[in-house]
Amino acid sequence: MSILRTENLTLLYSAKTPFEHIGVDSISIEIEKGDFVGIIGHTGSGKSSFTQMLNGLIKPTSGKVYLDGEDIWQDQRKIRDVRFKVGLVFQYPEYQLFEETVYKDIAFGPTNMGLSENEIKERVYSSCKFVGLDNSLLEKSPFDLSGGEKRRVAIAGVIAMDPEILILDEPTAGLDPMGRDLIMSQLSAYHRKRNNTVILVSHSMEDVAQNCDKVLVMNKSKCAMFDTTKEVFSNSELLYSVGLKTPCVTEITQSLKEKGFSLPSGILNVEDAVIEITELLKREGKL
Amino acid sequence: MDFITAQNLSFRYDTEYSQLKNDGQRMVLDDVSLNIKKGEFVAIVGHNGSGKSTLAKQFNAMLIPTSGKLFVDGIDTSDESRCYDIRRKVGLVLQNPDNQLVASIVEEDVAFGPENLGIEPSLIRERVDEALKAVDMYDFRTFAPHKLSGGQKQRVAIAGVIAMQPDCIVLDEPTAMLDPSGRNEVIKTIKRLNKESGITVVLITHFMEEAVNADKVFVMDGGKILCSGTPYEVFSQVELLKKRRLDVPVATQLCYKLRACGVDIKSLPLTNEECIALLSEVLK
Repeated sequence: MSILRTENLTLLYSAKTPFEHIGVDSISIEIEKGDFVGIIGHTGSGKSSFTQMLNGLIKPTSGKVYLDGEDIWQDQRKIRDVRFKVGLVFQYPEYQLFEETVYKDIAFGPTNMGLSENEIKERVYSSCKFVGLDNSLLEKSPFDLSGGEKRRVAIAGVIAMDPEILILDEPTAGLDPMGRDLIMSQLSAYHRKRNNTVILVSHSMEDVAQNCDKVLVMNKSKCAMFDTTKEVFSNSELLYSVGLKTPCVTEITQSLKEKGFSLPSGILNVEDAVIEITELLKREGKL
Repeated sequence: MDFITAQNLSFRYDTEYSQLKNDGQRMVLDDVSLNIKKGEFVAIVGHNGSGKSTLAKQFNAMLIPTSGKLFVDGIDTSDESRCYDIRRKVGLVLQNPDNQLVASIVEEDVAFGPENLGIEPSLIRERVDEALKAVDMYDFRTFAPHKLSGGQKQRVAIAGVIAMQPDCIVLDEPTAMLDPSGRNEVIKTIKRLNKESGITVVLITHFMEEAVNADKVFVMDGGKILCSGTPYEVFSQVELLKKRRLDVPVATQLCYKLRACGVDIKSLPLTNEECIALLSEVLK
């Protein structure tokens, strides 16, 4: 059974005023437990609005969100539990740090869940480990850390609530290649170990191609495509038409394929491309 | 002619805070020497904390060297009386478009700079129109900035700098927050300004695919310049960059790895187009 399902999920901004415009337009998708789902789309396509409806931060104008088969808005009083189950890391989360120490900041979520002192401690330490933060940082002020470290503290704060579904809105925007690789590899390790569901909103086609099993493509508030990563990135025409692109390596191999070289479509990373190209050369006796 | 010259430039943030923490001795920029010619398109790449942005802020005298010298168009930036002359020559565009738009209408925002220079109103009108046309945002001149996409906002921010008619534009990760098409718009605009108007461009970026467009690339590491040269010279040093955990363009990386597998590749490509052409030859 799917862990998360949306049914004609729609959001109108400034409804019933002259400024009314649509933020999310009738999106119906199903996400299975343990999926790593990417959401891509141009700026203003509704990605963030959509994800904020998934944990009940924004109430949809119409349509439903089902978490574990239950409509999250069925009982207004239970919406708090939904937010513990669906953890959301915002864009530029480092601006949300506020506590005196890193420890207290990460402990904020679990404390609000009403956990015991010992449980909180355990969760802070284990989530630190997941995001690759050194324990020596715990007593520091979060404002003394580097940008990449701050961001990992913010992510740890959400992971500490042990959500069934972890949503991250552009977790690597503005980071350097090293910081980006670190966060992405920690995330995929987290996903593998806990087998939780992870939803990643990103402008980096490379990050999505390398980590996600499925991809939701949004365009002008609508779902343009929802399919496996391979299928989505094989459809370069659609991606270009909605202002996105395929990863560079996919673009290169796709062009070669179109020139008549027998390469498979939807090659998503450099390692695979190297294997495919060398195999092809070997088959033809050129290597 | 050199437009920007740095001579053994070193810099540290000397604040009460850093003294308190006893790390006031750490040099953010450590003995940097470089030249940027008039009309050149220069890219600066490197890790977070490698000193890229600090260096950029030296270029328009927002920060002045702790030791060593920096000359902009022959003016020493440590000469406080010339500070405004320097800022008139060098415009700065930052990462987040939302942090640098000040007015509620696009054309008013672009006019903000020239107004502060005390320019004749009729002349301001002219400059604003020209600047908006240069970034292809003229049709949006009466829009509210918050109604624009990220790429459009960033182009308005660039127009705001162009309207001051600087000789040089320094862009500090202008595309970090943009989607692929927004990124493309901004890079195209920058390239056009450089080619057609001869504006000197300094582009700080984490995207190696963008750095490839430059005439010259500087790689910063730990406050020093690790290497510099044409994009081809810099990115062909795959091992050196990898060792410092820096990226090379995907096209370069792919061909580098293929070469390591014994595929006959003589020169490493920088762009996807070059890579496709090269691999077509190899596979033929």
